[in-house]
Amino acid sequence: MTDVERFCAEHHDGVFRYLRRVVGAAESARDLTQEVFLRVSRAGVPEANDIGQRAWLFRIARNLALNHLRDGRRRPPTVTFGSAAVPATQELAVALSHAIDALPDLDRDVFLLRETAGLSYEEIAAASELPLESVRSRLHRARQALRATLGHSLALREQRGVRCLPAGTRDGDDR
Amino acid sequence: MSSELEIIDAFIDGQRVDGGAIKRALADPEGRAYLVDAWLLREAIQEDETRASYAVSRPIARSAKPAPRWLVAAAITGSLLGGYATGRITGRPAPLAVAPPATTVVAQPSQAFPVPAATRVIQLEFHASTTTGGD
Repeated sequence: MTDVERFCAEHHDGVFRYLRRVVGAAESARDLTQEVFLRVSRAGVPEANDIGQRAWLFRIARNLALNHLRDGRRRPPTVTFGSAAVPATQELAVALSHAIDALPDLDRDVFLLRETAGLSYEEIAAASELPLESVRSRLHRARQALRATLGHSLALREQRGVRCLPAGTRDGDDR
Repeated sequence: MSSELEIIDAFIDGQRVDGGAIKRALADPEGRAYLVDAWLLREAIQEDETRASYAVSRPIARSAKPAPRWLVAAAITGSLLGGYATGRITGRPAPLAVAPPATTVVAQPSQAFPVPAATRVIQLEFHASTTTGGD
């Protein structure tokens, strides 16, 4: 396995999760993920440390996603799993998707780079070309907004207990 | 309070934070509530990702190495020979294709509509005229 193949395999899921949240539709996210790694394979992974490489990768993903949304003048469709009768276990997921969509663009992007892709503050700053302090404040503002919107759902969920999880993983990942 | 909550953000995001600062932030009930909510949010997002990953089937991974050329050639040759042998055993020679006639037969009018027998025969006779006009 070449370095590029290893790099792609390592980051495929993170890029897909981020893009799915940004563009909304899984099919579009899959196409964009392929496009990201096509560009990676053409350009080659730059000589940099892990932080630099991941920031570079997600800058490509972010730019492609923004172009995709801009070209189609599409608002990211809300990812929902049901229509009228939403099971209780999915109530928070639906509310969460709506709340994330309602965030200001940059705040949403910073939040998703952190929570779905698992990027560090430094990587987010490099990927989104923002100062580090701006990343901190936007991330905090996004969390406060989501907390305000989802307060009731979070309170209900709290009754089930809470776990300390690292960002950027899926529930059940062995990380 | 916002800066204290940002300390909690940094703490849950794995950043190195000042021990005293995180103690002060968590001494406040709002800080503790924020910490719990931030973790609940994270868990909700990760569960959503898991659900979505089950709902969206991933594309089937292709084999990294393509099939060897000799295998492709053998498969094609086998198919051709098999088809030939099957044709030899079970098939009959295909009849030569006969082109359809280029012309069509049209019934003659007499055959299509028989002429009735004559009821009267009129005979016409021509005579040269000797009279001249005038005086």
